[in-house]
Amino acid sequence: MSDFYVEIPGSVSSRIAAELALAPKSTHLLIGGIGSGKTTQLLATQRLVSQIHDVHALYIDVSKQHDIAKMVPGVVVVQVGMALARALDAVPHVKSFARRLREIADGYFAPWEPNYEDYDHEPGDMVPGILVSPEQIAASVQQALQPLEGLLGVLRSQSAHLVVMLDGLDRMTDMQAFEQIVIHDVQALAGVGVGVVLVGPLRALYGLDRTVTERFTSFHYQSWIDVRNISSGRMFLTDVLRKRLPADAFSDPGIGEIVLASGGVLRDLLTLAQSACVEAYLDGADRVEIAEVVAAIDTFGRKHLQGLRLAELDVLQRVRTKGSFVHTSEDDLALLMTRRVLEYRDQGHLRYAVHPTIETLLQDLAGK
Amino acid sequence: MNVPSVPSASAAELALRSIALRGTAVYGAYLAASGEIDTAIEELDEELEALDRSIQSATVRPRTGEQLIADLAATSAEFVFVDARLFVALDWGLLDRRRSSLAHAGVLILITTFSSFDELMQSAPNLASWLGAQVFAYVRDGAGVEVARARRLDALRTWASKSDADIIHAAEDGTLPRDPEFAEWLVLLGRGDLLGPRGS
Repeated sequence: MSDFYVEIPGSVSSRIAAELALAPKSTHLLIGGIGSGKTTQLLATQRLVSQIHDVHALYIDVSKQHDIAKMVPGVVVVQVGMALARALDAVPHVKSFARRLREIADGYFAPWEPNYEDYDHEPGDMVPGILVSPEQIAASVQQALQPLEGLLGVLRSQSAHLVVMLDGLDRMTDMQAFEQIVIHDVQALAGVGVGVVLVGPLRALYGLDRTVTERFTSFHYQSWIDVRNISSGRMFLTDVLRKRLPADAFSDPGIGEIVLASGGVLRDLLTLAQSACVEAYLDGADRVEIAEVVAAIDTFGRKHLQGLRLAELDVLQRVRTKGSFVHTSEDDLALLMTRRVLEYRDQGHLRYAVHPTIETLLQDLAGK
Repeated sequence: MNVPSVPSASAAELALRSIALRGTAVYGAYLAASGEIDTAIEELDEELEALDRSIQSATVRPRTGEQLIADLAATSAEFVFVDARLFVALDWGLLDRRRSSLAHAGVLILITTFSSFDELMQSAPNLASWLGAQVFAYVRDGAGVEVARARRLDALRTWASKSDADIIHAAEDGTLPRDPEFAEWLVLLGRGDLLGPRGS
């Protein structure tokens, strides 16, 4: 874990780790907006869980080895198996399981045995059929599960439990495919006693897709931080910046302005700070003052407005002036996913705001 | 109701900004009309080389998002310019899903058209979040360039407490320190010719 990590009080990672300490075979769904720090929380969870006696924790970015637009049941199980095989590389008997998983992942040539009694069936390339029965889906998961269970047997001579942190699936847009992964892969992993923490798409939180959250032992939401209303949130983000920046690099008002302009989105906080440093370099300034921060905010905001359609601008103006946001369409949801609209949750209370970097630009656009 | 455009920057200014981001993993975009993209890349490359001849840069011209992932895996250049003018929503969507495969230790700039960038902003929210505030529109010449040049020259004069004449004189005498800022200063004054073995 990076030296730059700052623990947020009551963080999602500490909550998940505490639950896993009590129930290492439990399953957890983590959802949050882009740039809210989900991966950081997942890595922090891995670090905390690794400290629990008898638990081995693995982090896996599922999207690194597979195009998540083409998710099929079994993809997650096989990746968990391959990651475990890599972790147990030095242990005898692992290689055969690893090879089998590699075959399942990449495909292989089955040995050809000629049938001399039936010359009507000449060997040739297998042309897959178009029907995929539910049984076949279950079979592909089972196929990947067998070598994984072998590896779990090896692991259990060292650690009683395995917990996997699955990252990257938050970028899935096909919610039916996501649900299939949850039904087949996550349940299969839970069935063989593997604890799971999975980062899921933001859209799983809304409308009919919300039922998927009920398939997990626990659901956790990594919110953007309401820097306008919560002083502890402002203090946390200020600490994050101070930990990463040389002392005196920013003036205090400069840091305060960046924290507010970030809208509580961690990634935006860091990119705004970085851009303000570039502005200071161009200005030849020794430290970042308000002028450099304002320039960085303006550049960020202008970028953030590109690609918007008229109807979306109307929605943004309504959120800006009235704070009301009812997401009924895919376009509305896209405004949340792209952080033009920020949603803050505080003890069940919801607040919506436009990203602070576009607030003034929208005001200018509306002429008021 | 038109949304405000992204700020303009000449290739010289973008090169300066890129140099300032050296040592970090940064993603940016440079927007231009399709017919100006080759010139923008050429100028960017030249300006970067003028600022620091030791810089390793590479230009890739993938036809698809998939090809960009392969191209990136094959280059170790610190600065990578991606001619992305052919990219459509499908390509941006793929890059969005496979964001992890775009990890690059250095500065990566997507050079593309305004309309292609609009599609990026609509189809690739994860990738867009990586771009932060590093998105500029290309300007070939004119006031924007002059303003950026004057701004940086002012900064250098303040930094060194010296005048332009002092720097040129020192370069001609061979007494100019070897700090990259002085080389940049000469380039901005149009006296890159003094960056020989003596003055560099």
